[in-house]
Amino acid sequence: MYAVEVEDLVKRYGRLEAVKGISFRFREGTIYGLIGPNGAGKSTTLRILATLLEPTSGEARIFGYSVRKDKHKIRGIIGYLPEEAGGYKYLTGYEYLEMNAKIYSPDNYREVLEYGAMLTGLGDRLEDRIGSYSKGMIRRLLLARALMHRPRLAILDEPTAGLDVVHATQIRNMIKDMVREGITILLSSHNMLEVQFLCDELSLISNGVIVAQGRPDDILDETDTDNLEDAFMRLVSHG
Amino acid sequence: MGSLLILVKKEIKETIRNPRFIVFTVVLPLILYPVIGLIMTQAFTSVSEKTKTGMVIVVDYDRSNISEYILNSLSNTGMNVVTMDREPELDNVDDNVLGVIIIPEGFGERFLNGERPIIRVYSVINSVSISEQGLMSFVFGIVSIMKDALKTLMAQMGGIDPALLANPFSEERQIYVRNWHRTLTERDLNAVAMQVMFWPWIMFSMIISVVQLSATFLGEEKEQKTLEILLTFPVRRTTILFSKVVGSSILAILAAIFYTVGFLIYLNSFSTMIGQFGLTIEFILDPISIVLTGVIFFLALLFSAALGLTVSVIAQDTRSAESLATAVVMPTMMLAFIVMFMDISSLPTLAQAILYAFPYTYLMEGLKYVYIGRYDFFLIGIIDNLLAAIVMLALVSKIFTSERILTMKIRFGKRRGS
Repeated sequence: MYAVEVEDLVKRYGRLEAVKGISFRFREGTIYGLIGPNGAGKSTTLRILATLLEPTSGEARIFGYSVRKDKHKIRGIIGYLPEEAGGYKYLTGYEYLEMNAKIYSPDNYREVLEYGAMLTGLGDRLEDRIGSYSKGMIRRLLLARALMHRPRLAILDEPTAGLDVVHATQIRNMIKDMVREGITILLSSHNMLEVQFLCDELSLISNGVIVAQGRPDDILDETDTDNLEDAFMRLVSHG
Repeated sequence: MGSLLILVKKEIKETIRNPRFIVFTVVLPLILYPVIGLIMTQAFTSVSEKTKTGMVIVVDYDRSNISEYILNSLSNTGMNVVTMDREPELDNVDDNVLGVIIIPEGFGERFLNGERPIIRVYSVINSVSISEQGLMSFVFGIVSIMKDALKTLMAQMGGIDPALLANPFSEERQIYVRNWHRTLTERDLNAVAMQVMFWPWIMFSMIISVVQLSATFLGEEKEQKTLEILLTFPVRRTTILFSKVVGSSILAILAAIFYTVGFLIYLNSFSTMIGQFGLTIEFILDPISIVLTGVIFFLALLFSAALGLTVSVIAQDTRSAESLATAVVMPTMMLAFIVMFMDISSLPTLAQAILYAFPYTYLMEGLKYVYIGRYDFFLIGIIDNLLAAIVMLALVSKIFTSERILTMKIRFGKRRGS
């Protein structure tokens, strides 16, 4: 079964067309990447899939549910990490996870909560208020929040943005572990080397249009390049 | 010098683009204060007009030369004085009657005997407000004219007791309040007026607190970048919305309790002062009216919470939300001035309709009606506030359930390139 199917998706903000009729799909149990520079339309696409924005035209389905008609059902099976996200500064990390666990898994929230706490790797710092956390700690907390209820699809927008090498590596490993547990991942990144390391399949997106898609190795072969950055530059310059 | 200029330009740009500067330095002085001035001018012009067109009834039971002399002296001032044989029912006097002066039988005789006679003076006002109290002063001022006339007469007569010359007669002053259908002593009215006139300001401070608080509720979500995650929770958007409405209402009620306690302490100290001066306030608050006021209070809180959330939807951050909330609530400040200074029932019908369509009017005018059990006022107020709350909740709910909550943006002092 396809985890995500996107067909001719268009999104306009007034006169600005952010997404210009993109299509892609991928199966359950994989890591799929939307790759491109800032302003390419990645975040808009992910926000449509997370049911935050309405598509102007086209359709997108998650495990068969339409983002137009089945918003509530989709929200129950996804975990979403926005690119720019924070936590409630006066709540402790533990309280924040507890609130999420109770909303997503009211019947077994304690188990989900403990799992989420383990995912953060923050230990006793979970008892502190989020306002006292570093950027890396907040990102780990939010990623754990998005994954703790074991969603069928985790939508992660720039999961490692702004993090140092240590924290970014921890998060990449966490994502890989999640896939082994059966969670499907859709992530965006402008860090093409990171995507090359993580993703089974990907779409390269530029200026609201997909310029290439497939397995990373296949894209490298097709463009006769060694890494996705070079491949992207070659595709864009030829496009 | 060059560096100083660069830094000064930076300071000025930062300050001018701060929404608080726009609200408190531009909106307040250029719009609010002139409007308040206009309200006060209108209030006092209306008093002045009423004194020209209104009339004072004099009931002369004495019919002596002395009382006739006083009446003639009043007529010579150009005042519209009407004499009547019998004391009118204050409930039934025409709207242009400003006062009733009753000269008792034997007034002239007592005066000639060197005693100090007593007259009764009723000021008839529509409601308790500063402008209406101005009319009260006008009517009591007539008594001074009567006294001056008598003093002139006494000077011509000669051989009068100097104490009597200083104050030829005493008067019992009372005030009839038309929309309360009650007669009060001057001192009692002043005591109640203090409560009634401060009430709009207590309500105003509460309203602005609730609207700002609700605005901050969503503004903080935007500022802390927690809104997107919140909106992907598998709960209905209306549930999220009502969690904010209920949350801000609970905090507002807590704030209202603190306000009320503070106000009660204030009133208590005031009552102590009243007791020291031997005043008695005979009013008893009507319990049903208090319950109805509570309902209006609750609905107005809901309206305010929804208004604050609507404001915060279009504001980009907490600071913009607070400033926008303050700007939106500013007309309420004008309303507080209107309630304090003017008698709304004496305004033109269109003005009354506009003011009574505004839900907060019932909250601010409420205390005037709590004393007299005017249930129709409260019931209309409940309907108006309920409709306003429903409309505002429907509006914010519509925004909340659409993507506009993420895409609508208002920013004060939009920067180039943003």
